[in-house]
Amino acid sequence: MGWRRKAGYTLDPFFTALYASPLVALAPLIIVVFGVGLFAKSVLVFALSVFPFIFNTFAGVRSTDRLLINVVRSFGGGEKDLYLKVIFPSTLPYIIAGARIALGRGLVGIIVGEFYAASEGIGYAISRFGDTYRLPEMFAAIFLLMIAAVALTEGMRKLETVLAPWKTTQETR
Amino acid sequence: MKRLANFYSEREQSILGGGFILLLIVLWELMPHVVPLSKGFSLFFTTPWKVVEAGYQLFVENKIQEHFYVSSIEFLAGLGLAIIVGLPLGLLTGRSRNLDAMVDPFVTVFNATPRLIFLPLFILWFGIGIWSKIMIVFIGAVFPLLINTYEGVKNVDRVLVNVVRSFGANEWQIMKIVVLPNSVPYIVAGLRLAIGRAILGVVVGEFFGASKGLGFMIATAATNYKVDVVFAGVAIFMGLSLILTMAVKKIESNLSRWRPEQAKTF
Repeated sequence: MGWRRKAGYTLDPFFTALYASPLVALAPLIIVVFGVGLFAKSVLVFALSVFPFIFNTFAGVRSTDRLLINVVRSFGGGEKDLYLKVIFPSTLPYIIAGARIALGRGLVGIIVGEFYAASEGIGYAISRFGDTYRLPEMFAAIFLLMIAAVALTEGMRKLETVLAPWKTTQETR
Repeated sequence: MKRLANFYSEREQSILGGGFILLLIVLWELMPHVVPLSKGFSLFFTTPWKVVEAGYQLFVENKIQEHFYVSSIEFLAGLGLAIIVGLPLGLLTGRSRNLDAMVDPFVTVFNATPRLIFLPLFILWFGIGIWSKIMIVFIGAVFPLLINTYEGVKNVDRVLVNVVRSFGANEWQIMKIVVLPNSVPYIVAGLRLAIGRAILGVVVGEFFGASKGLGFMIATAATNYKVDVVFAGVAIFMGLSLILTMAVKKIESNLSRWRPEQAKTF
Protein backbone atom coordinates (compact mmCIF):
# COMPACT_ATOMS: atom_id res chain seq x y z
CA MET A 1 0.00 0.00 0.00
CA GLY A 2 2.84 2.37 0.75
CA TRP A 3 4.65 1.30 -2.36
CA ARG A 4 1.81 1.50 -4.81
CA ARG A 5 0.93 5.17 -4.92
CA LYS A 6 -2.57 4.75 -6.26
CA ALA A 7 -3.46 2.09 -3.74
CA GLY A 8 -2.33 4.55 -1.07
CA TYR A 9 -4.59 7.26 -2.44
CA THR A 10 -7.50 4.89 -2.62
CA LEU A 11 -7.30 3.32 0.79
CA ASP A 12 -5.89 6.14 2.89
CA PRO A 13 -9.07 8.19 3.54
CA PHE A 14 -11.04 5.07 4.32
CA PHE A 15 -8.52 3.78 6.85
CA THR A 16 -8.02 7.22 8.34
CA ALA A 17 -11.73 7.51 8.93
CA LEU A 18 -11.80 4.13 10.62
CA TYR A 19 -8.65 4.81 12.62
CA ALA A 20 -9.73 8.18 13.91
CA SER A 21 -13.14 6.99 14.92
CA PRO A 22 -13.72 5.27 18.24
CA LEU A 23 -14.34 1.74 17.04
CA VAL A 24 -15.03 0.68 20.60
CA ALA A 25 -18.45 2.09 19.94
CA LEU A 26 -19.05 -1.09 17.98
CA ALA A 27 -18.32 -3.25 21.03
CA PRO A 28 -21.95 -3.88 22.01
CA LEU A 29 -22.81 -4.82 18.45
CA ILE A 30 -19.82 -7.14 18.13
CA ILE A 31 -20.81 -8.87 21.32
CA VAL A 32 -24.41 -9.19 20.20
CA VAL A 33 -23.32 -10.66 16.88
CA PHE A 34 -20.49 -12.93 18.02
CA GLY A 35 -21.73 -13.91 21.45
CA VAL A 36 -20.21 -13.43 24.88
CA GLY A 37 -17.39 -15.90 24.35
CA LEU A 38 -13.75 -15.53 23.55
CA PHE A 39 -14.33 -14.92 19.86
CA ALA A 40 -16.16 -11.62 20.24
CA LYS A 41 -13.28 -10.20 22.27
CA SER A 42 -10.80 -11.40 19.70
CA VAL A 43 -12.75 -9.60 16.99
CA LEU A 44 -12.86 -6.44 19.08
CA VAL A 45 -9.15 -6.56 19.83
CA PHE A 46 -8.45 -7.15 16.16
CA ALA A 47 -10.63 -4.24 15.06
CA LEU A 48 -8.87 -1.90 17.46
CA SER A 49 -5.30 -2.95 16.95
CA VAL A 50 -5.07 -3.58 13.21
CA PHE A 51 -4.93 0.07 12.21
CA PRO A 52 -1.70 1.08 13.95
CA PHE A 53 -0.05 -1.76 12.03
CA ILE A 54 -1.47 -0.59 8.74
CA PHE A 55 -0.54 3.02 9.27
CA ASN A 56 2.94 2.46 10.59
CA THR A 57 3.79 -0.04 7.89
CA PHE A 58 2.48 2.46 5.38
CA ALA A 59 4.62 5.25 6.82
CA GLY A 60 7.62 2.93 6.98
CA VAL A 61 7.40 1.81 3.38
CA ARG A 62 6.94 5.40 2.30
CA SER A 63 10.04 6.56 4.12
CA THR A 64 12.23 3.90 2.52
CA ASP A 65 15.37 5.45 1.13
CA ARG A 66 14.92 5.94 -2.62
CA LEU A 67 18.65 5.64 -3.10
CA LEU A 68 18.72 2.10 -1.72
CA ILE A 69 15.88 1.11 -3.99
CA ASN A 70 17.70 2.49 -6.98
CA VAL A 71 20.85 0.63 -6.00
CA VAL A 72 19.03 -2.70 -5.88
CA ARG A 73 17.36 -1.91 -9.18
CA SER A 74 20.66 -1.01 -10.82
CA PHE A 75 22.14 -4.31 -9.78
CA GLY A 76 19.28 -6.08 -11.43
CA GLY A 77 17.13 -6.81 -8.40
CA GLY A 78 13.50 -7.69 -9.08
CA GLU A 79 10.39 -6.68 -7.21
CA LYS A 80 10.94 -9.54 -4.75
CA ASP A 81 14.47 -8.43 -3.92
CA LEU A 82 13.20 -4.92 -3.36
CA TYR A 83 10.71 -6.08 -0.79
CA LEU A 84 12.98 -8.52 1.00
CA LYS A 85 16.23 -6.60 1.00
CA VAL A 86 15.24 -2.96 1.21
CA ILE A 87 11.65 -2.26 2.05
CA PHE A 88 11.10 -4.83 4.75
CA PRO A 89 14.23 -4.10 6.82
CA SER A 90 13.68 -0.36 6.66
CA THR A 91 10.03 -0.76 7.59
CA LEU A 92 10.63 -3.08 10.53
CA PRO A 93 11.20 -0.38 13.16
CA TYR A 94 7.95 1.29 12.15
CA ILE A 95 6.11 -2.00 12.37
CA ILE A 96 7.36 -2.60 15.89
CA ALA A 97 6.46 0.93 16.91
CA GLY A 98 3.03 0.23 15.48
CA ALA A 99 2.89 -2.97 17.49
CA ARG A 100 3.46 -0.97 20.64
CA ILE A 101 0.55 1.32 19.89
CA ALA A 102 -1.56 -1.64 18.86
CA LEU A 103 -0.75 -3.25 22.19
CA GLY A 104 -2.32 -0.41 24.14
CA ARG A 105 -5.39 -0.38 21.98
CA GLY A 106 -5.68 -4.14 22.17
CA LEU A 107 -5.67 -3.95 25.96
CA VAL A 108 -8.48 -1.41 25.77
CA GLY A 109 -10.37 -3.86 23.60
CA ILE A 110 -9.92 -6.69 26.07
CA ILE A 111 -11.02 -4.60 29.01
CA VAL A 112 -14.06 -3.08 27.36
CA GLY A 113 -15.10 -6.44 25.96
CA GLU A 114 -14.80 -8.08 29.35
CA PHE A 115 -16.49 -5.27 31.22
CA TYR A 116 -19.34 -5.52 28.83
CA ALA A 117 -20.08 -9.20 28.72
CA ALA A 118 -17.84 -11.96 29.96
CA SER A 119 -17.62 -14.65 32.57
CA GLU A 120 -13.85 -14.80 32.81
CA GLY A 121 -10.89 -12.51 32.44
CA ILE A 122 -9.21 -9.71 34.28
CA GLY A 123 -11.62 -7.04 33.08
CA TYR A 124 -14.49 -9.18 34.26
CA ALA A 125 -12.76 -9.66 37.62
CA ILE A 126 -12.31 -5.93 38.07
CA SER A 127 -15.88 -5.06 37.28
CA ARG A 128 -17.27 -7.91 39.37
CA PHE A 129 -15.17 -6.99 42.41
CA GLY A 130 -16.28 -3.41 41.92
CA ASP A 131 -19.94 -4.40 41.78
CA THR A 132 -19.64 -6.31 45.02
CA TYR A 133 -17.66 -3.58 46.83
CA ARG A 134 -14.60 -5.79 47.27
CA LEU A 135 -12.14 -2.97 46.80
CA PRO A 136 -8.95 -4.77 47.96
CA GLU A 137 -9.42 -7.53 45.40
CA MET A 138 -10.34 -4.97 42.80
CA PHE A 139 -7.17 -2.98 43.35
CA ALA A 140 -5.16 -6.20 43.25
CA ALA A 141 -6.61 -6.94 39.82
CA ILE A 142 -5.99 -3.38 38.66
CA PHE A 143 -2.37 -3.51 39.79
CA LEU A 144 -1.91 -6.86 38.12
CA LEU A 145 -3.11 -5.44 34.86
CA MET A 146 -0.90 -2.38 35.26
CA ILE A 147 2.16 -4.56 35.78
CA ALA A 148 1.27 -6.63 32.75
CA ALA A 149 0.78 -3.53 30.62
CA VAL A 150 4.08 -1.98 31.69
CA ALA A 151 5.92 -5.25 31.13
CA LEU A 152 4.45 -5.63 27.67
CA THR A 153 5.20 -2.06 26.66
CA GLU A 154 8.75 -2.17 27.95
CA GLY A 155 9.24 -5.59 26.38
CA MET A 156 8.13 -4.19 23.08
CA ARG A 157 10.61 -1.35 23.43
CA LYS A 158 13.38 -3.88 24.11
CA LEU A 159 12.30 -5.91 21.13
CA GLU A 160 12.56 -2.79 19.05
CA THR A 161 16.23 -2.36 19.84
CA VAL A 162 16.94 -6.08 19.44
CA LEU A 163 15.16 -6.63 16.14
CA ALA A 164 16.06 -3.38 14.51
CA PRO A 165 19.34 -2.21 16.01
CA TRP A 166 20.15 -0.28 12.84
CA LYS A 167 17.49 2.27 13.45
CA THR A 168 16.80 3.24 17.01
CA THR A 169 16.02 6.89 16.61
CA GLN A 170 12.60 6.46 15.08
CA GLU A 171 10.14 7.00 17.86
CA THR A 172 6.45 7.26 17.42
CA ARG A 173 4.05 7.43 20.22
CA MET B 1 -11.51 14.27 -23.27
CA LYS B 2 -8.20 15.89 -22.55
CA ARG B 3 -9.79 18.27 -20.12
CA LEU B 4 -11.33 15.34 -18.35
CA ALA B 5 -7.95 13.66 -18.09
CA ASN B 6 -6.47 16.84 -16.70
CA PHE B 7 -9.27 17.16 -14.22
CA TYR B 8 -8.63 13.62 -13.09
CA SER B 9 -4.88 13.91 -12.74
CA GLU B 10 -5.21 17.09 -10.71
CA ARG B 11 -7.57 15.56 -8.22
CA GLU B 12 -6.49 11.93 -8.44
CA GLN B 13 -5.97 11.61 -4.72
CA SER B 14 -9.36 12.83 -3.60
CA ILE B 15 -11.20 11.08 -6.45
CA LEU B 16 -9.67 7.70 -5.68
CA GLY B 17 -10.06 8.13 -1.93
CA GLY B 18 -13.62 9.42 -1.97
CA GLY B 19 -14.60 7.00 -4.71
CA PHE B 20 -13.46 4.00 -2.74
CA ILE B 21 -15.52 4.96 0.30
CA LEU B 22 -18.52 5.64 -1.91
CA LEU B 23 -18.06 2.30 -3.63
CA LEU B 24 -17.98 0.47 -0.30
CA ILE B 25 -21.15 2.20 0.83
CA VAL B 26 -22.94 1.35 -2.41
CA LEU B 27 -21.79 -2.27 -2.19
CA TRP B 28 -23.03 -2.43 1.38
CA GLU B 29 -26.41 -1.03 0.30
CA LEU B 30 -26.72 -3.47 -2.58
CA MET B 31 -25.54 -6.53 -0.69
CA PRO B 32 -28.92 -7.77 0.60
CA HIS B 33 -30.37 -7.47 -2.93
CA VAL B 34 -27.64 -9.58 -4.47
CA VAL B 35 -26.78 -12.14 -1.78
CA PRO B 36 -29.70 -13.80 -0.05
CA LEU B 37 -29.15 -13.53 3.70
CA SER B 38 -30.13 -16.16 6.18
CA LYS B 39 -32.74 -15.16 8.69
CA GLY B 40 -30.38 -15.20 11.67
CA PHE B 41 -27.89 -13.02 9.92
CA SER B 42 -30.36 -10.46 8.66
CA LEU B 43 -31.23 -9.76 12.29
CA PHE B 44 -27.83 -8.13 12.65
CA PHE B 45 -27.73 -6.60 9.24
CA THR B 46 -28.56 -3.13 8.17
CA THR B 47 -27.96 -0.94 5.17
CA PRO B 48 -26.59 2.60 5.06
CA TRP B 49 -29.94 3.96 3.98
CA LYS B 50 -31.68 2.43 7.00
CA VAL B 51 -28.98 3.92 9.21
CA VAL B 52 -29.65 7.36 7.78
CA GLU B 53 -33.38 6.87 8.28
CA ALA B 54 -32.89 5.78 11.88
CA GLY B 55 -30.65 8.75 12.52
CA TYR B 56 -33.20 11.11 11.02
CA GLN B 57 -36.01 9.53 13.03
CA LEU B 58 -34.05 10.00 16.27
CA PHE B 59 -33.24 13.54 15.26
CA VAL B 60 -36.90 14.35 14.72
CA GLU B 61 -37.82 12.80 18.06
CA ASN B 62 -35.18 15.03 19.68
CA LYS B 63 -33.48 11.97 21.18
CA ILE B 64 -30.12 12.51 19.51
CA GLN B 65 -29.89 16.09 20.73
CA GLU B 66 -30.61 14.98 24.28
CA HIS B 67 -27.96 12.24 24.30
CA PHE B 68 -25.54 14.41 22.42
CA TYR B 69 -25.91 17.19 24.96
CA VAL B 70 -24.98 14.92 27.87
CA SER B 71 -22.09 13.33 26.01
CA SER B 72 -20.64 16.65 24.94
CA ILE B 73 -20.80 18.02 28.48
CA GLU B 74 -18.89 14.99 29.70
CA PHE B 75 -16.39 15.35 26.91
CA LEU B 76 -15.80 19.06 27.35
CA ALA B 77 -15.64 18.98 31.14
CA GLY B 78 -13.26 16.04 31.19
CA LEU B 79 -11.02 17.45 28.50
CA GLY B 80 -11.06 20.89 30.10
CA LEU B 81 -10.03 19.42 33.43
CA ALA B 82 -7.28 17.46 31.70
CA ILE B 83 -5.96 20.63 30.09
CA ILE B 84 -6.10 22.54 33.37
CA VAL B 85 -4.14 19.82 35.16
CA GLY B 86 -1.99 18.38 32.39
CA LEU B 87 -0.46 21.53 30.94
CA PRO B 88 0.93 23.14 34.12
CA LEU B 89 2.09 19.79 35.42
CA GLY B 90 3.84 19.05 32.15
CA LEU B 91 5.53 22.45 32.17
CA LEU B 92 6.64 22.01 35.77
CA THR B 93 7.95 18.48 35.36
CA GLY B 94 9.78 19.55 32.24
CA ARG B 95 11.55 22.37 34.08
CA SER B 96 12.21 20.84 37.47
CA ARG B 97 14.39 17.78 37.70
CA ASN B 98 13.26 16.79 41.19
CA LEU B 99 9.61 16.93 40.30
CA ASP B 100 10.33 14.98 37.14
CA ALA B 101 12.00 12.18 39.11
CA MET B 102 9.04 12.08 41.46
CA VAL B 103 6.28 12.07 38.87
CA ASP B 104 7.88 10.07 36.07
CA PRO B 105 7.28 6.52 37.40
CA PHE B 106 3.60 7.26 37.88
CA VAL B 107 3.28 8.73 34.43
CA THR B 108 5.04 5.78 32.81
CA VAL B 109 2.89 3.23 34.58
CA PHE B 110 -0.38 5.02 34.03
CA ASN B 111 0.40 5.76 30.44
CA ALA B 112 1.12 2.12 29.70
CA THR B 113 -2.11 0.89 31.27
CA PRO B 114 -5.43 1.46 29.62
CA ARG B 115 -7.06 3.94 31.98
CA LEU B 116 -10.42 2.38 31.33
CA ILE B 117 -9.77 -0.20 34.04
CA PHE B 118 -10.59 2.50 36.55
CA LEU B 119 -14.10 2.75 35.24
CA PRO B 120 -15.73 0.37 37.75
CA LEU B 121 -13.85 2.13 40.51
CA PHE B 122 -15.00 5.55 39.36
CA ILE B 123 -18.54 4.35 39.08
CA LEU B 124 -18.29 3.21 42.69
CA TRP B 125 -16.75 6.46 43.85
CA PHE B 126 -18.59 9.02 41.78
CA GLY B 127 -21.87 7.26 41.09
CA ILE B 128 -23.47 6.51 37.76
CA GLY B 129 -24.13 10.17 37.03
CA ILE B 130 -22.13 12.49 34.89
CA TRP B 131 -19.14 12.74 37.23
CA SER B 132 -17.81 9.24 36.79
CA LYS B 133 -17.65 9.85 33.03
CA ILE B 134 -15.99 13.21 33.45
CA MET B 135 -13.37 11.55 35.61
CA ILE B 136 -12.76 8.73 33.15
CA VAL B 137 -12.44 11.24 30.32
CA PHE B 138 -10.10 13.29 32.46
CA ILE B 139 -7.80 10.43 33.39
CA GLY B 140 -7.73 9.23 29.80
CA ALA B 141 -6.90 12.62 28.32
CA VAL B 142 -4.54 14.02 30.92
CA PHE B 143 -1.58 11.74 30.24
CA PRO B 144 -1.08 12.41 26.53
CA LEU B 145 -1.27 16.13 27.29
CA LEU B 146 1.14 15.90 30.19
CA ILE B 147 3.66 13.79 28.32
CA ASN B 148 3.64 15.90 25.20
CA THR B 149 3.96 19.13 27.14
CA TYR B 150 6.84 17.59 29.06
CA GLU B 151 8.42 16.46 25.81
CA GLY B 152 8.07 19.95 24.34
CA VAL B 153 9.64 21.60 27.37
CA LYS B 154 12.49 19.10 27.35
CA ASN B 155 13.26 19.76 23.71
CA VAL B 156 13.67 23.46 24.23
CA ASP B 157 16.88 24.93 22.81
CA ARG B 158 19.38 25.31 25.66
CA VAL B 159 21.10 28.17 23.88
CA LEU B 160 17.91 30.21 23.78
CA VAL B 161 17.30 29.61 27.46
CA ASN B 162 20.84 30.69 28.28
CA VAL B 163 20.54 33.83 26.16
CA VAL B 164 17.38 34.91 27.89
CA ARG B 165 18.89 34.09 31.25
CA SER B 166 22.03 36.08 30.47
CA PHE B 167 19.84 39.08 29.83
CA GLY B 168 18.52 38.72 33.34
CA ALA B 169 15.26 36.87 32.89
CA ASN B 170 13.82 34.98 35.83
CA GLU B 171 12.28 31.51 35.65
CA TRP B 172 8.82 32.89 34.89
CA GLN B 173 10.09 34.97 32.01
CA ILE B 174 12.07 32.06 30.58
CA MET B 175 8.87 30.06 30.65
CA LYS B 176 6.92 32.77 28.89
CA ILE B 177 9.45 33.82 26.26
CA VAL B 178 11.18 30.58 25.31
CA VAL B 179 9.66 27.45 26.78
CA LEU B 180 5.99 27.99 26.10
CA PRO B 181 6.26 29.01 22.43
CA ASN B 182 8.58 26.08 21.85
CA SER B 183 6.18 23.55 23.32
CA VAL B 184 3.07 24.74 21.53
CA PRO B 185 3.24 22.24 18.64
CA TYR B 186 3.85 19.41 21.08
CA ILE B 187 0.93 20.53 23.18
CA VAL B 188 -1.34 20.63 20.16
CA ALA B 189 -0.20 17.16 19.12
CA GLY B 190 -0.93 16.03 22.66
CA LEU B 191 -4.33 17.62 22.40
CA ARG B 192 -5.06 15.54 19.32
CA LEU B 193 -4.22 12.36 21.19
CA ALA B 194 -6.17 13.56 24.20
CA ILE B 195 -9.28 14.14 22.09
CA GLY B 196 -9.16 10.56 20.88
CA ARG B 197 -8.81 9.26 24.42
CA ALA B 198 -11.56 11.54 25.66
CA ILE B 199 -14.02 10.27 23.07
CA LEU B 200 -13.04 6.72 23.97
CA GLY B 201 -13.74 7.58 27.61
CA VAL B 202 -17.14 9.04 26.80
CA VAL B 203 -18.19 6.04 24.73
CA VAL B 204 -17.06 3.35 27.13
CA GLY B 205 -18.07 5.28 30.21
CA GLU B 206 -21.60 5.49 28.91
CA PHE B 207 -21.77 1.82 28.01
CA PHE B 208 -21.77 0.95 31.69
CA GLY B 209 -23.85 2.59 34.30
CA ALA B 210 -25.37 5.51 32.46
CA SER B 211 -28.87 6.60 31.69
CA LYS B 212 -28.14 9.18 29.01
CA GLY B 213 -25.60 9.89 26.33
CA LEU B 214 -24.70 8.59 22.90
CA GLY B 215 -22.75 5.61 24.28
CA PHE B 216 -25.78 4.62 26.31
CA MET B 217 -27.93 4.96 23.22
CA ILE B 218 -25.62 2.62 21.29
CA ALA B 219 -25.48 0.05 24.07
CA THR B 220 -29.24 -0.12 24.57
CA ALA B 221 -29.86 -0.22 20.83
CA ALA B 222 -27.46 -3.15 20.49
CA THR B 223 -29.18 -5.13 23.23
CA ASN B 224 -32.52 -4.45 21.54
CA TYR B 225 -31.15 -5.58 18.15
CA LYS B 226 -31.68 -2.13 16.66
CA VAL B 227 -28.59 -2.37 14.53
CA ASP B 228 -29.40 0.72 12.48
CA VAL B 229 -29.49 2.87 15.60
CA VAL B 230 -26.12 1.45 16.65
CA PHE B 231 -24.62 2.42 13.33
CA ALA B 232 -26.24 5.84 13.47
CA GLY B 233 -24.56 6.42 16.83
CA VAL B 234 -21.24 5.09 15.60
CA ALA B 235 -21.49 7.34 12.54
CA ILE B 236 -22.01 10.36 14.77
CA PHE B 237 -18.95 9.48 16.83
CA MET B 238 -16.98 8.89 13.65
CA GLY B 239 -17.94 12.24 12.18
CA LEU B 240 -17.22 14.06 15.41
CA SER B 241 -13.80 12.59 15.92
CA LEU B 242 -12.89 13.14 12.28
CA ILE B 243 -13.91 16.80 12.48
CA LEU B 244 -12.09 17.34 15.76
CA THR B 245 -8.95 15.56 14.60
CA MET B 246 -8.88 17.53 11.38
CA ALA B 247 -9.44 20.81 13.19
CA VAL B 248 -6.55 20.13 15.54
CA LYS B 249 -4.36 19.03 12.63
CA LYS B 250 -5.15 22.30 10.91
CA ILE B 251 -4.20 24.27 14.01
CA GLU B 252 -1.08 22.15 14.28
CA SER B 253 0.12 22.95 10.77
CA ASN B 254 -0.71 26.62 11.21
CA LEU B 255 1.20 26.89 14.44
CA SER B 256 4.26 24.95 13.41
CA ARG B 257 4.74 26.69 10.09
CA TRP B 258 7.52 28.89 11.42
CA ARG B 259 9.64 26.07 12.71
CA PRO B 260 11.98 24.11 10.46
CA GLU B 261 11.64 20.64 11.92
CA GLN B 262 8.38 18.86 12.47
CA ALA B 263 7.35 18.18 16.01
CA LYS B 264 6.94 14.57 16.96
CA THR B 265 3.36 13.69 16.47
CA PHE B 266 1.33 10.61 16.34
